[in-house]
Amino acid sequence: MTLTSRARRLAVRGSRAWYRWRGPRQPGPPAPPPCPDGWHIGPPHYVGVGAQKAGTSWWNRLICAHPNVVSPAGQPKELHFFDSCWEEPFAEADARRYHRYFPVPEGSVAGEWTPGYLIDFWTPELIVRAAPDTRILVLLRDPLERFRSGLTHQLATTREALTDRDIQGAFTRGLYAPQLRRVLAAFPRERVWVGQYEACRADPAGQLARTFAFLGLPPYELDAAAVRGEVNPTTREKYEPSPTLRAALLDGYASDMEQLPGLVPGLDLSLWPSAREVGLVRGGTGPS
Amino acid sequence: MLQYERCVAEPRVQLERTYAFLGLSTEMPDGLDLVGRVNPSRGPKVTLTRWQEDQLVQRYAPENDRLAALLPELDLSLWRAPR
Repeated sequence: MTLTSRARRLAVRGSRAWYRWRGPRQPGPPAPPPCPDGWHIGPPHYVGVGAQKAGTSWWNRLICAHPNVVSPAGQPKELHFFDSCWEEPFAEADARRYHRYFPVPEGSVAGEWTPGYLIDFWTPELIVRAAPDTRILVLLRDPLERFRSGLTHQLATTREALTDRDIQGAFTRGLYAPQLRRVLAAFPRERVWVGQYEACRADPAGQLARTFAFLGLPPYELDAAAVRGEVNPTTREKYEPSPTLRAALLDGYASDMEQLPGLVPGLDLSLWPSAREVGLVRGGTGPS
Repeated sequence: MLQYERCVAEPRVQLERTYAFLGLSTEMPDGLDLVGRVNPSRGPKVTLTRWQEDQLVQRYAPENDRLAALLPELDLSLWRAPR
């Protein structure tokens, strides 16, 4: 084991211990950053809305590496600004408060990426109200792999054994079609970018160039090593569902995956082993 | 497939349907209480604001439409529609 990987493991263990001691994060955003002289605040240029455990931290880090994108020091990638807006009516003052998280100098842009916005059904409409011209980013991943990764993350960050509710919750997050429908009902199609984690892994530079173009940013090439570096890598053994649960998950995800190309015409189901396994892609191992 | 609202509105008809589906005689047992509540709610019901109610109704609407396509006997007029 190299010194770097040992240090990384230690850091991960330390952060898990901190998480266990502190407990789950409280909903709601931190205090907004200061707005330096000469900068201005306004609606975010982009809002990433999902999906959880689909490489969003990695992709957001790459977006923020663009010289025209501002990321205030100490501000988390996930603001969770709309989490508690279910309880209270959303007012104009709330929209102005949201804008305070995005101070930028002339010629620069800023945004955030909270994966939970995709599953919180009330959020897309509120994003429209707070940032009507923003661009929406969604990264999807093979739902079965997302399921495994989500539960692996949960096992790593809590002391609790998994319950049937955890399984159901993780499953529901992978039902992308109804979540995407809500986003596409709120925003015009041309302002929604839907990427695939697997495509980003296979061709990060190409996908990043597409993301920059979608965001209206000038082309910018990042160092190859910076592009490939993982964020929040899984360091423990991945959760493996039992054969019965795995079969039930595939069965449950099949009809949802089938709907996705109709919602996102460029989506490539052949990148997802699950889609191949249930026979949604020619050459798959499942029934044709 | 049963709909709660139909069962409340016409318990006898829906129970007969259920018996018939299960291959049972549709004759009702004597003294059967058709309207007595089982597990009635205790305490006040959760109240929603109008905005919350609208959000739920709107978000469920496409799902209800898909459900109605799958289950032609489903009577969506018994459920709240978007304002």
